[in-house]
Formats: sequence, C-alpha cells, structure tokens
Amino acid sequence: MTSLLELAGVERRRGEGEGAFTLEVGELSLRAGDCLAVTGPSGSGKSTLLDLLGLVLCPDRAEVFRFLDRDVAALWRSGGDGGLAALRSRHLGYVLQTGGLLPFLDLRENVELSRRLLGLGPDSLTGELLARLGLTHLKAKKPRALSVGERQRAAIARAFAHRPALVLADEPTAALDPSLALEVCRLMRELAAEFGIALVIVSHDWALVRRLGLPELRVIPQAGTSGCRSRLEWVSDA
Amino acid sequence: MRDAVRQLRSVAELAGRDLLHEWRASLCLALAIAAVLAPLLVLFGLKSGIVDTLTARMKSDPRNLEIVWRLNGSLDRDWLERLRANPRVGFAVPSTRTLAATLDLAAADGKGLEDVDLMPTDTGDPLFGVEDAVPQGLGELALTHEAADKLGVSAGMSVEGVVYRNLHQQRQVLRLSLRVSAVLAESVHSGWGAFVSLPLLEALEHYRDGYAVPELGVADGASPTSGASRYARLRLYARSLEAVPGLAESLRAQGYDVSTRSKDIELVKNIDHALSFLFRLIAGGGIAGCVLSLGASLWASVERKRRDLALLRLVGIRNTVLAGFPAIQAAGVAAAGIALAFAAYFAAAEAINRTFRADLSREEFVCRLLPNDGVTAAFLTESLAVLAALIAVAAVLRIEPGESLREN
Repeated sequence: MTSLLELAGVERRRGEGEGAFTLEVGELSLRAGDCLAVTGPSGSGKSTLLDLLGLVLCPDRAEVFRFLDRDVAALWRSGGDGGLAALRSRHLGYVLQTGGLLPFLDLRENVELSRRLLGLGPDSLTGELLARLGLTHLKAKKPRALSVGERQRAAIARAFAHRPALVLADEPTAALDPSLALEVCRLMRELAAEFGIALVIVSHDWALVRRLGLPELRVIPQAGTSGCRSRLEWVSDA
Repeated sequence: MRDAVRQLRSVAELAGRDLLHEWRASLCLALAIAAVLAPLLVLFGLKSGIVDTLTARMKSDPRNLEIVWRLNGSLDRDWLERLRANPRVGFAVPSTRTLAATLDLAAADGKGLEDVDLMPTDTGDPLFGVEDAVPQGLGELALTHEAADKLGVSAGMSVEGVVYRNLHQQRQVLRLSLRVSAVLAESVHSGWGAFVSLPLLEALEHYRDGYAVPELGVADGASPTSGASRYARLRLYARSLEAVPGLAESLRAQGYDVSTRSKDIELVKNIDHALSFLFRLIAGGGIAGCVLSLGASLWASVERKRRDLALLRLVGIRNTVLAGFPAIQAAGVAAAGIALAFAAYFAAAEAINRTFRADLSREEFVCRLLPNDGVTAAFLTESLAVLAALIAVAAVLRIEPGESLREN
C-alpha cells in the first residue's frame, strides 16, 4: 500500500529568543488508516509537527514532503493558497483543542460545514456520527447552548463528516475530565478504524496515550550549539 | 473557478448567518447608517422640492418671461418681423406710445372705471390662459381680474368704452360697445387694465390725436397720415426662462434699455447653489464619519471572529474568497440601513409636505426625492459601505489557517 503521508528531512524553526527551537523530522511515513499518538513535553514542538502535517505551516526545509502523492513542499514554494486549501478541505479533518465550531451555525450545520464547502450532498454518515457521539437530540442547538464535552464531540463529528484521509487532533481532550477524555479518544479511534481514516492525536497526557494503546511518537527536545532542536522518536511498547 | 464560485456562495451565506446570529449588533450598524442617510435624504428632498417648486412657479408665471422696455425706441416693422422670427422670442406685440392709452369703462348697471390702462395684445399672448379668448378686432377687450371685479362683469358680457378728445375747441366723446372676451387670472396682472387688439389701440390713439377714424365711425378730423408706422415700445416675452437673459442681452447690445426679472431667476439659482453647498457639506461630514465608524466596527468584528474565520481557512476556504466575508456583511448592513433610511425619509417627507400643504398647490411639494436621486443615494451608500470594509478585508487576508488550531 502506498504512503498517505511521507516526510524526510523536514525542518521548521519556531519561536523567538530563549523559547526558540527547531523541529526536525528525519523520516516519517503514514499509511492510510494508520493511527498514532504524538507526545512530548510542552514547548517541544508537538503542535509544530501537527501544523506541518495539517498543511498550515510552511516548512523551512523539506527534502521530501508528500501527501496523497502531491508534493506539498512544491505547493508551499508556489505561494498560492489554492492548492493547499483544496487539499486541506478535501482530505484533512481537524479536531481543535477547544471550539472549532462556528457560533452562528447549529450543531448539524457545523458538522456538515466541510461537506457543504466541498459541495457534497447530505450523507448518512452525518446522522451516524451524531448518533455514535450521542449528539442526535442536540443537532438543532447552537454551540453556545452545548456543554464543553458536547462541543468537543461535535468538533470530532465535524472533522470526520466529509470522510477525509487524515484526521489531526490537537490535545482534543485538554478541556475534558479524564474519564470523558478516554471515552472521546476511543470514539475517535473507532471511527478512524471503521472508515479507514488515518488519525494523529497530539497529547501531553502520556497515561491516556498508554491506555489507548496507540503507537507513540515522542518529540524529544535536545539543547544544541545552535539552539534547541527537537527530534522524533518512536516509543517501543514497554 | 467553479470551486471559487461555490466557496463565495458559501462565504456569503455564512456572512449572512453571522449577521443574523448577531442581529443586535447588525441592527446597530444598520441604524448608524440610517441615522446618517435619512437626514441626508430629507435634506436633499427639501433642496429638490423647494428648488423645483420655485422653478416651476417661475416657469408658470409668464411675467418672468417678460422683457420690459424702459425707454422709447423707434422700432420699424421690418425690425419687429425679424425679432418675431428669433427662436428665443415667444410673443411680441408693439405699442405706439410710451404712456399707455387709457379708456373709461362703464358696465350696464352703472358701475364705472376711469382711466383704465389699455395694453395691446394678440394671439399667443402668454398672459392669457388656455380658455381665455384673445380679443379680436375693434369690438372686444379682455379685462384684468381686478377691473372685471370692479365692474361686476364676466367674460361674454359687454361694457361701454368711453374716450374723450378736444377738437376744434370742443369736447368730443366716443362711446364704444365692447364685448369682454376674457377675464385674466388674478395672478398674471395686478391692477386695473384692459387688453385690446393692436388695430383698436391704434384707432383709439388716432381718435385722441384728432384724426378721423372711419373704422370707428368717426368722420370728423384730419385724414390719418399714411406711411410706415414706427413703434415706441414692445410687450415682449421670451419663449422660455432660459432664453430671457440671452434675449435681453442681445437687445441691450442693440442699444435698447430693457429690464427683466432676472433677479428672481438668479435668486432661485442662488438658493439652489446654497442648498447644494450645504447639502454637500453636511453629507461630506456625515458620510465620512459613518464610513469610518462602519469600517472600525467591521474591523473589530473581524478581529473578534479571528478564530472562526481561521477555522474557515483551515477547512479550505481560500483567503481571497474569505476576504469577501466583511465586504458582504457591509453590503448587507448597508442594505438594511438604506431600507430604514428610506422608511424614515418617506415618513418625514409626508409630515413636511402635510405641514406646508396650505402654501402649495396640488402638484407642488416642499420635500421630494426624484427616483434617480434615490437610486443614486442607495448605490453610493452600498459602494461606500463596501469601501469601508476594506480595512476589515485586509485584516481577513492576514488571517492564517493555523490560528484556529489553538488559543494564543
């Protein structure tokens, strides 16, 4: 099976002064349906990695950066937003730390946002996602009428509703209590597995990641002569 | 391309949903626009209404078309024919004397008027209304409203005209039965006066001068001298208000001392200019303030919604399309503001016109906005609102999709 995502020799510098660091992705490849968790101390570059994978942060250097056989590095170099925007809208789903819902649309419309922007018609998946995430009775409510947990589940439904190739979740459980956090992550994993969608979850909560049993990619900061450099390292199941 | 159109449609829909969601804030913006636009519409309506009414009144009053001979000239028939052929001339009838001839008038029931001024008239006299018959020949005259009132006669009745002369050291009297062909409207001529055809006027003057006037049945007196008669002055009316100054100027250039009511015409023009200036001043100030405040509000709104807009970028809306978000909202708010402003304008105009109804005829308005001016105002407001959104558009263009991912 061909790679969904392939990175080699990708670098990106982030931050200013003392907090500055460079994230270095030596080699990383992801196949369709792969699930993995990215962990690491805060400020190490987890979010930078996610932004690079999410096609919203331009790499400083990239020997190889392919997503669905498209040369992402070349798209960044070409400057126009169109090609990347098209890739993002069709093939990526994002679960944000908080929110990620538009306040002026109701829950169902928020979930179908990507589908609508893509010009896709209604799909049974929306209803199924709402049912699976326990949101069916809330579908006509505006986000401000929802609890934090309900909003987070709605954001997950939104990220999956247009059947993207890859869903990226950035600390999706930060705002939730621990029992709910595990439940939400399990749901995402189930959904990803069911629909063959690759899933990358970024979390600082190592215990949670262990309990999920996902392959774990750790971001390791190392002080060096030219400032802090962060590398990626697979954590073997211990 | 099709993608861009679909995205633009989505952005327009989302922008509209956002306006409705924050309807209180949207209404405030629309009211702010209406608060500037409505008084401007009323002011412009007043300007158009007042100036149009004054202009219409001037146009409908034939006295404003008159070019008055202040001194006697010596005008021959050829010159008069050339003048009548001038396209700027609406009506010209000569009279022979500087001082108007006069006539005593007596009605059947004994009421009388002495020394009524006689003025020449002819077909096409602008002082005569469409239903007023111009006196013809030697047996008719038209009376001013005041003269007819005093004599207690109306059109179709007859009056007796009495003229005296001294000939051969004796006082002679000529009595003429004259049919009243018309009574002129009160507004076109004030005072006692009578209009008669030029032949009758000339015949009466001949009689006074002591000549025999066979056409009036007067055989006594010398035979009139024949030959080209020359005229001393004219009753002259320009074809239109616009033709008055040019015609007067060309007559002055020929050495005739004439005067017009150009001061009244100038006055209306000055009122027009003054009101236009005031309007531009107030409109300029009001609109500048409104554009700035709308621009600032839209900008603040974009900054407040940065994460939501970044989310739209994240899910694939291109930045150039998303830039339409505040512009579309500006257009929507402006449309609501225009609707409110026109509603307020129509209410105010109705109230103003009602207040001044007593001073106006049925077709006159103090406050009236022409459809063209209304459409122009609406179009300008829309354009300026979208222009005001430019700062917000620039702010949207700077939004990065990554901004939505986490709170900073």
